[in-house]
Amino acid sequence: MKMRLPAIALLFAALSSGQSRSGQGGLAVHIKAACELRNVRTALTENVTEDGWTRASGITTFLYLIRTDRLTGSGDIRLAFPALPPEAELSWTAQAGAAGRAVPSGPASRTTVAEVICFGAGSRSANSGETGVAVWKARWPSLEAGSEPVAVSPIITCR
Amino acid sequence: MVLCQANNLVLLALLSGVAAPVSQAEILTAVQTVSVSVAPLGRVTLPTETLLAPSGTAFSAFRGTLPFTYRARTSSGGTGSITVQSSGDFTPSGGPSVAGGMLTFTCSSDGDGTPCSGTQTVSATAQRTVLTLKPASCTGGGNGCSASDPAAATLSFSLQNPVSLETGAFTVGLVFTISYY
Repeated sequence: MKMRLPAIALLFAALSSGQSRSGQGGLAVHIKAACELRNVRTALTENVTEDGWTRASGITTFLYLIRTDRLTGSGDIRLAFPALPPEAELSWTAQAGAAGRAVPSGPASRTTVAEVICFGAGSRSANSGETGVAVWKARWPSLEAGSEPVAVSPIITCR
Repeated sequence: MVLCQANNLVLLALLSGVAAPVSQAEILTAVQTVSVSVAPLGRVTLPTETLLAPSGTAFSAFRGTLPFTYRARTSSGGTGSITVQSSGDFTPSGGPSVAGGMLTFTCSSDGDGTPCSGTQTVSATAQRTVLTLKPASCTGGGNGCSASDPAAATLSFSLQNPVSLETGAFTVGLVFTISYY
């Protein structure tokens, strides 16, 4: 004797073939103030000793990249002359690129650092940078010729 | 007497016909068929948010890794994939831009899926393939499936950091879609 039972078909998943599901994620980034100097070069235009004085002059150029905080930022570029004798007399003029404002002129010495370009909030240079130029002159009492070259060190700060 | 004997004989015959099946051992067999339709499946699990960090000098790219896990089963004649697409551009405006092609990624995987090759650029208008699933692939503990369950994969992101970006905090959403056949 046989018993007949109904066939049972179980559908393991109610989904038909060809489906997709999505998941959500995200990325976050904090862009902060940043600045950088590149290609600093100084060309001496004069370096002579006569009549008891040594006179030196030159042109310092540099490429600067800067991004200051959009709301509260600031920054500057300063020139330091670490090798000048204390009694040196120094003057300079500066030019800035599209970003920043040049401080037209001012004095500096071995013990002071001259601010030549300043930046306000939201300052941004071109992606490839801007060119800054400083023309300076110095003289100090000296009886010996062939004094060491004047070293010029630009410094950039930003926040 | 004869009639009674005949009746008895008939009765005996009837009883014999009925009693015979009861007296013998019998096994009944019933066969029931159960069929199961196992459909393709897929699921992807992501972290809520991944932070990109500076990678070096002042204007070097931001970098970060986004690990995720997935479970998938494809049919013997089907395939599958995991894709990513941004849900828009970075917000607020003024910061990085997906539309500008600034956000790229590379892929790696420890499962059976084939990760994308080379560097891919995130798009807000088109899905980018992160992983390709083979026919008859499955995640989960060997026996022809991938060793790990769920399987894991990683996207390594790079975001350009040009000077022109405004300062601030910026975010962008990512939509991962797993398709399976």
